[in-house]
Amino acid sequence: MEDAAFTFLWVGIALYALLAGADFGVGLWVLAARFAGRGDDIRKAAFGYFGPVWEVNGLFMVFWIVTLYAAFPRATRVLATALIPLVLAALVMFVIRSAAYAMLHHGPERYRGVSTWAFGISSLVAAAGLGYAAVAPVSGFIRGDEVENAFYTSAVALTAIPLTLAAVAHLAAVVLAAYAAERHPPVVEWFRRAALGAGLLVLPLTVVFTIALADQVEYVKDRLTDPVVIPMVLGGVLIFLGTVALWRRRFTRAALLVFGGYFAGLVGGAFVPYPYMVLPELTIAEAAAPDASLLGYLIVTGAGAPLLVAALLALYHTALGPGRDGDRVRAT
Amino acid sequence: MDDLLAGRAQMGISLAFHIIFASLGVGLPALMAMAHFVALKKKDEVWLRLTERIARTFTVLVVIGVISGIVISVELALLWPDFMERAGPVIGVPISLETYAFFFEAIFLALYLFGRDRLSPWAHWACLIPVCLGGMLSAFIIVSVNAWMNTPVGFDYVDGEFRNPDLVEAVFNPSMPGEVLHMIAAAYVATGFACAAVYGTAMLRGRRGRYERAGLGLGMTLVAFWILPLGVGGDLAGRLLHENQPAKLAAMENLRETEKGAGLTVGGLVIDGENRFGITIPYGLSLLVGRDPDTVVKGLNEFPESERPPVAPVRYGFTVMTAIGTLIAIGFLAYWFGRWRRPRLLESRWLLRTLVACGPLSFVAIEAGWIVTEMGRQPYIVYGYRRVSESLTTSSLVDVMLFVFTGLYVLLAVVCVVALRSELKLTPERASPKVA
Repeated sequence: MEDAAFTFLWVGIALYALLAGADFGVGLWVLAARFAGRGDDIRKAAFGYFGPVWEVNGLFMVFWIVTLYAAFPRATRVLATALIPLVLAALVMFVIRSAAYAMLHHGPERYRGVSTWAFGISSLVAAAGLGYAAVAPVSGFIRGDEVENAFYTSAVALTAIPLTLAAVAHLAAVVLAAYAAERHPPVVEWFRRAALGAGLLVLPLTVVFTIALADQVEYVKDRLTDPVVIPMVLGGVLIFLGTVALWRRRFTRAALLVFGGYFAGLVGGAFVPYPYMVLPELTIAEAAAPDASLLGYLIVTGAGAPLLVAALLALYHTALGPGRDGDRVRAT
Repeated sequence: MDDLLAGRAQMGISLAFHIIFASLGVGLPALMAMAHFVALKKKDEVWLRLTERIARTFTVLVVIGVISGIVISVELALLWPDFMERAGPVIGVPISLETYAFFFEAIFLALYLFGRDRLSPWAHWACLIPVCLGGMLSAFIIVSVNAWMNTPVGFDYVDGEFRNPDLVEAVFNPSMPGEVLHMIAAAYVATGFACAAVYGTAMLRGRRGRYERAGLGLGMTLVAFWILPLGVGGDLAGRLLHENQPAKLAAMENLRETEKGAGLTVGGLVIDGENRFGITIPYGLSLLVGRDPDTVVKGLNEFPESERPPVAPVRYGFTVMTAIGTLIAIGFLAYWFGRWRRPRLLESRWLLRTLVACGPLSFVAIEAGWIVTEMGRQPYIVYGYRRVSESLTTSSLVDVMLFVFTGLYVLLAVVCVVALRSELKLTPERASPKVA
């Protein structure tokens, strides 16, 4: 049962990383829009996508944190204690970003400039901080309830930052291209080129990160030749196919393939350190709650997840898809 | 500042901030649903403007509420990792169920806010039903978890761990009925009064049109639905305290010695550990908690000093809550008496001023109630099993977190006020809703 709960945990983390990751990437493109010819149109499209979905996307953080509480309480203690500085920093940036968006969307006109900068910069720092923190459990640097200081300057931690930034930029550009194709046609090409550029960056950064991780953690290195990496390879193939679709201007298909690729890569990647949850301190079984709690969690998740997916699809279709009267452009 | 105090202060500030938005998150969807229903049924522009106004307010409040909710979910683990590790197997599953309720609330709210031009009018309105239910279910679960911390059941306590959890027994713990009913009803009543206060203020400033009267009536209608459950919940919570948390009840009344036929002291101050200047109603407490004037009520003397909650904040919290409760009951009765028999009463400035005061005061009452609940459980985080001091993180960053998070809540409060002012400057005409 703990393996099933672990899978759900990583489905939650992957969904957060993808959906909220794309939202973080929106911050990058909003900043970049300041230097582009169609800055206002780009910002309008970016916030047109971001507005209806960001709160719901952000809730996936609650989803996976609560899964940790319910199904892996020991891991909650270890990670919450060891990662306090990183989580705190990411949380501060998360709040600043949300506050900046609230000011941008609901506040007076005179604060727009500073709010845009705050939104963009805090999005990037929050994403970088979360990526930095996310590799700690597999880096081998967590001992007891603490992260060794060497982690902060290790190659594996430092390479995670540019990879995270490139990935969120890629995700955001792909989804914004698909959104703009429906609602803001004039900026589709801008987002398409941005997505292709960011996608090109992701590939070498993934290779560098994998080499750094394998070099740091013997256990991971050994596992890289196991069948456990098949989902990650599949993820890479899907992202490649998504890039081809993007090249051919099949925007919706590209978005689905790229998201599917990252999803497969993240959930598959979670099983590389198996059976460890915090390598080499804590296994999944050691971290797991008693069977009665795991069963309760799986029942709640089994019943709630399909309803949640249906409701999310309804939201994305209604808020982001074509309108009832066929309208193609709607400012939020 | 020592780490324990810093940790408790941070949690207190976080919850005090979030509970305002959480309460409005429960109540405002109901107001929106009622106003929008009337608008669609009567095809009435005034009610549609009212709906639009509430929706705009809610949009801002929800942004701040979601942020503070996410922060609290992380904060719990950062500050109290021992509590989350030990209690996680019991309370984690109910909280994960709450996550779904929260999700559905947020998804359907987004559908409502962004789907106006994309859904049929009644489908658009129907989006508010899951928002209302999600908010209520969320509140039910969170308060139920808090009630479990007050009266923990549904486990075997072995070697400092909560083993063999019975999740149903844990959720439906002895304190749950009173706490849940009292809190949910309080959220609706406070929201109703907040709405009445906004439009009451407009009427006091001379704008006494149909729009303002409709807004005032809408708020007071929500209050009418929930004020009786609020009282019943409070009474039930008091009786359950007598059975399950006698130390908290003794602190609320500052009852030093166990008494048969204990009196109820209304108001007053706690000076040198004694109640002074209050009015004591003979047998009042025994009658309230036991329905019998001879009921024995345990005093603080029954508990060792190290097991007693701090009396002054609990007593003052209870006094403030009940005083405001009395005021809002008077405001409520006066308004509806006016509607029933004396329409001129509704024009009187004293009634409008009372209703306006009830808006913010209702939220003060909610805060005071939570002080009673949380401080009254001290020194325990899980009553009778785990102390707060045992649950704090071992990190040296607790005081840093206090300053950082306090700064963030100040930022959020400023953003909330600025954004609300900006949103509400938009006239309903500019928002141009269409009657279907």
